[in-house]
Amino acid sequence: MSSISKEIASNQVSRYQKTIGQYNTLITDAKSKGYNVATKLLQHFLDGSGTTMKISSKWLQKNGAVQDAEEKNQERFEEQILDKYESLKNGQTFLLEDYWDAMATSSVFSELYYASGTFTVKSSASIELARNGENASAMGKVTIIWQDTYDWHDGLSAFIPGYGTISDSDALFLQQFGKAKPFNMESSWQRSLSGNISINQYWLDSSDFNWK
Amino acid sequence: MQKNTIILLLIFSFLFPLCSENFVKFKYVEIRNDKYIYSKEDLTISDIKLVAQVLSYYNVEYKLKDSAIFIRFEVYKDFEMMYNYSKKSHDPNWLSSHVK
Repeated sequence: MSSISKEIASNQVSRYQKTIGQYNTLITDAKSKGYNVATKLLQHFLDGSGTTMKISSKWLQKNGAVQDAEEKNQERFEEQILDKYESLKNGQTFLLEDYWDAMATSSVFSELYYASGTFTVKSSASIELARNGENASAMGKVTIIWQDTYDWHDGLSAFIPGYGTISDSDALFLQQFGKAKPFNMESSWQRSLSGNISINQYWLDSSDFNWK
Repeated sequence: MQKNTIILLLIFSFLFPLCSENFVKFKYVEIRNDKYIYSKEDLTISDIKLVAQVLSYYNVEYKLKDSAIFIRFEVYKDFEMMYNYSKKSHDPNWLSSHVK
């Protein structure tokens, strides 16, 4: 090995040790602040198994950005229902089976920002519409799949309070030089929909959708 | 407010509705590095048929011209909706069960 190669290798070892040290400190600090999910995921990345991690759906559903993404998809289904019911004849039913994806980024003030950042919420619906005289009903289920890949992107960085800006290139270096490995994260839950549309002959129709 | 700013705002408010009526060439939208981006790939004739099926299903107005499919700018600028349309046009299960 030439002296230049030895110097490069030595620099890499020193950068690796420094970065791993920073990440371990970050994990310890975050754990002490109760950021259990984010620390578990960072540790899983460093361990390098690459296996998919299941994230608690209850925990995710408390996050505002997850709620917003889910509601955005719900509104898309509601719009589809409102587009369809008028064409149904009395006694006729229609099965709405469709899906929508919504991408969202959690607030920097939430733990999810450090666990995931930007994620996708896919909602798949199976909703039956029925027309009965001056009423139309919509009943069904929606399966929500939350997913993200725990990975890093060259040229990006994240601001971590108390640590400043941490470049994604550090994590990418750990992947390249060490055993760290990206992995998929997922979670799923279900909602049920109960909706009613009153058809008014002389005024605007009214609708009411309940998601549980 | 400056006089120039008011004039610019007036011009913009007049031109914007006209622009939004314009039809633009449909491009696939994909996710890269957690961001929606328009694909540089041109649609083939068979891609256009599939995209047309998706747009027809959702009652989205489109025009076919010069081996391309055109949609209103209002639709085009909604990245997420365009992503969903792009995804469905590549999904054989969705395509086989959603024919209008």
